[in-house]
Amino acid sequence: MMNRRNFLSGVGAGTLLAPFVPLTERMAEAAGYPTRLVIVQTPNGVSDYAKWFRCSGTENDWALGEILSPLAPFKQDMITFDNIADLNYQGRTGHAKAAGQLLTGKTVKSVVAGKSDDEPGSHLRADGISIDQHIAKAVGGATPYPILNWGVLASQAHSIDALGAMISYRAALQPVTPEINPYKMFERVFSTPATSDGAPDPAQGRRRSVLDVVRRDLDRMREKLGTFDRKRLDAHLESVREIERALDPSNRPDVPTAASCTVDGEPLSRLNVATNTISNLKVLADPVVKMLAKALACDLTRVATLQLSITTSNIEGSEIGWKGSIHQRSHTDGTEELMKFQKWMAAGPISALLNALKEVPEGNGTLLDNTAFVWAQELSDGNTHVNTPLPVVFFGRAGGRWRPGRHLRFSSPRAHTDLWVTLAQAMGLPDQSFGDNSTGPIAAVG
Amino acid sequence: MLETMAGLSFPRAARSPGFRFLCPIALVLVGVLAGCSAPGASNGDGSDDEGGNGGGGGQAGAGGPSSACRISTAAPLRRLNQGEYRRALGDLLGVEVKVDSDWLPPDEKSHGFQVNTAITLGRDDVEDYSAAAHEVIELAGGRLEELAGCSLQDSGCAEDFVTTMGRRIFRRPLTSEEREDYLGLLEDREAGVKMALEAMLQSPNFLYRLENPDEEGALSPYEVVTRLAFMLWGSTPDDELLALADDGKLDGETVRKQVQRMMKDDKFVRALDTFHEQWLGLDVAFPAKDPDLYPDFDEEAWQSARREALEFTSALYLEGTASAPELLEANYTFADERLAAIYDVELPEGKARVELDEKRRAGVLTQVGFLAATALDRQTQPIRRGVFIREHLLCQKPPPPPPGLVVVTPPDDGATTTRQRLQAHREDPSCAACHAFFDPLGLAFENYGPIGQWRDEENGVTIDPSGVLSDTDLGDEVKFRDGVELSRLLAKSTTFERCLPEQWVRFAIGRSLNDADRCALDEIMKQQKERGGTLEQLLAAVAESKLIHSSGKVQP
Repeated sequence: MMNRRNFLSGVGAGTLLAPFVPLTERMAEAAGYPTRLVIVQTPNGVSDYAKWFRCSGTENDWALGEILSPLAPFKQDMITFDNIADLNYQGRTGHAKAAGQLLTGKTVKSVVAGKSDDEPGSHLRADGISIDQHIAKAVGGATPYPILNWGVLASQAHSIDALGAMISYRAALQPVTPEINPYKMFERVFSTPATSDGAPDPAQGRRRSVLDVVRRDLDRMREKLGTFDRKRLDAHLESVREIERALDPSNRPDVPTAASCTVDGEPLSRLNVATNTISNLKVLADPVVKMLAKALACDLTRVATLQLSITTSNIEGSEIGWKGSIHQRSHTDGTEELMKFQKWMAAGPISALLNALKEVPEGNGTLLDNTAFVWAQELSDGNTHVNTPLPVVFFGRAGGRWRPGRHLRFSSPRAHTDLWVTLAQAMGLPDQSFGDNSTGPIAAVG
Repeated sequence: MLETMAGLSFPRAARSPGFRFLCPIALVLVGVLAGCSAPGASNGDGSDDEGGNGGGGGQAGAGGPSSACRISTAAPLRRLNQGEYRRALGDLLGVEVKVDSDWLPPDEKSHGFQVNTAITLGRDDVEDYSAAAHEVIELAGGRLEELAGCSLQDSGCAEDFVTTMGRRIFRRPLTSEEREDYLGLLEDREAGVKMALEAMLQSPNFLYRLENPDEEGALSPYEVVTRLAFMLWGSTPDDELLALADDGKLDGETVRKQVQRMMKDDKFVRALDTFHEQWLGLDVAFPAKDPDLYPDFDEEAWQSARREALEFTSALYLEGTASAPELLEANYTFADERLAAIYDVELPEGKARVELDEKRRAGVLTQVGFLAATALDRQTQPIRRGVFIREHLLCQKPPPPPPGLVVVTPPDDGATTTRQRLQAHREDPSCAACHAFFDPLGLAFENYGPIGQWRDEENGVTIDPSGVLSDTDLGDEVKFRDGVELSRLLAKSTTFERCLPEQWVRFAIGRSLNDADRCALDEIMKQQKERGGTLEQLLAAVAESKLIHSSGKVQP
């Protein structure tokens, strides 16, 4: 097992993941490297898009906007966009609407009858599945975890919009709350039979017997319910089945037990997942980013979302330039605080994740080359709640399907759902449309 | 409230891989389990009857003579919220159960309350329940034998214990199929009992409140006592309630006596706190304020404000003499030093109750909690305050804003009042049509700043809190001078008086009332008045009403 110092002090290149000889060679021999999908979201927008985010220049000769400037070392790994639009709301939304529509491309509606769409507590939910879940349904069966929805300081307790602030939807009106506790991420992904040595474990056998009875109770109860509630119970039932499958030794995937695929969970148990400050976000993001890279490198999952902070978060950032709540500071004309926030995200956790993926060799390239990596924001101007042009960047080569190192500017607004069709195709799906307004994949990425 | 006995806690589970290093889930012994008797001694012992209508009469008692009223809408399937889950586990095991919020699935509000009627559970959520059940039972370890009152090594004892606990956990006797499944787990001689309990604690029969009304909309006695327990205790029914359900003895007089007993129990205040926290919108993230302007309003001050509101509202129910208007009229509160500074009063020596200036403070709408929760870090949000009053106090629904409207609080220009900056809402007829409905109600409280502090001026301009209250039984053009006068007007209105019990019903059954429910609400109001009209009597009338004791047929 990797010792704690290796795990948590590995800030610089190579410390965390080297020596990395893992599964991947074996896997590549069999079927080639899989393409992975990573979607990172940072909240509340960029304030003045033209001033702080937009890139200038031409497709091959271009300059990064201020917020993106810390990502200069990855310029040849990225595709920047301009003129991406959310055509449903024509750029006029609120936080929860923007978060819900981001990955679903569907309008957001109130699930409480009679509530208006814009008032607090109206329980806004997107009316469709999100692209990460849609892709995971197609490719997730190959790995122990079809999808990982993770976050840092991104729980309901960190947001005014509660569940409305979530970006991933397992179905229409069904938002997914990301896992925000690094210790639980470790426990669920790195301490399950998927990474054990395969010896029979009586505790796992007992757990299966217990779940078997629970499943029978669910089967019996669902028969007594009306249509709507039966669907709710069916989702519960499917979750139990998924856990049962993961616990079944005969279904146990061929997963490496290399040291590079294990995590020392002990230090994670002491982290504080409540304190809503940039300083704490930094402490939490470090192990989360490293575990995420490991989960992808070791093929424990192929699809992941990461919410870094959450929309309407009151996160405090005196360390990097604002006092009090970022959400409240964002509601000021021409605010620079959001620029500082997003630029810090670029320089910090996003660069760290890109580096971690880049440090894993795969064939002649790296894990980043085999990844379709998206950084997206749900809003453009956080003050006026405008979400068009949508700030979004692609990274990686998606297993050779993308040709990064370019800036793509659309002369007329291009539906953001076309980005998601592009992602679906990068992940091997045949889709030609997704959500509302899409016209097809963006061919120019290739 | 549960009293914790210091120093007694269970050793951490050694085997459980998930909890080697930390204790996000903990148990604290709270003394002997009330009503803990030997398994199968007096109560049901695994009857195959799955809670059919027992001896009948389960729904007959309540509602009194005017039973022409019929409830036609079924309540949605409710999943226990985090508080109910913790308290139910605690009551079942006789220990206080602490489970960190991020170790349990999220809660979801509908109709103003955390009733969990819409969202589904994903794998992470189910893993959470699974881990919590495992850990709680591991921690409870030695306590189980104490609860059983016999040696669990003995198979007869183990079977009786699992059957008895199953009835408590599922809030009804196990069916024969269930009994077979759960007793089947006892084949594992070493861990079977724990496995059975672990399975029960993640079974849908524990986690969801299933109701199966018959063709007439009648609920089983078990479903009725479950509703009462979660409404009045925020937790699972005790053995006495389950025994009454076993016997089907839920006639009107029995229900009345049980409701009285439940409201005298220490567990009652937990339900009061939960209800008021959600009703008053205090169950939100810390509403951060500008630290330069309000350096003392930190998270602790916010917690003080929440406690203040809960202490105040609970006292009104518990002391037994206050009636509903007191919620909106009282010129006293329960403040600590931080709040006394905001209210600008001296804390009386050795007394919790603080008298406030009756010209400036009247009830919950002028308390720090409501006022701070409905303000940004530097500005108040009068529209939000107004909409809140319409929805939560008057049970009215403002119409939705026009599509595509950008909702942004106008920036503070440093020279005008918030009312002046919202001028367009009054001058533009397309805005005024709706905003006249709620803006005046929020603007009435402009004398209270972002932390609820009194202010005469904003940006050097005198604040005008006056306005007109429309759309209540008092009429459409009732003028008021300020927030205190508006509070007193609302307190007098029948619209508010009828809304309060409706809020309790929403809390209890997870849905809003419809036209067909109105006659049951009329009956509540009549009963409450006949009994004396206190808040305690109002709540008892709700608990005994048709709305709690019957349901509509589940739509296929």
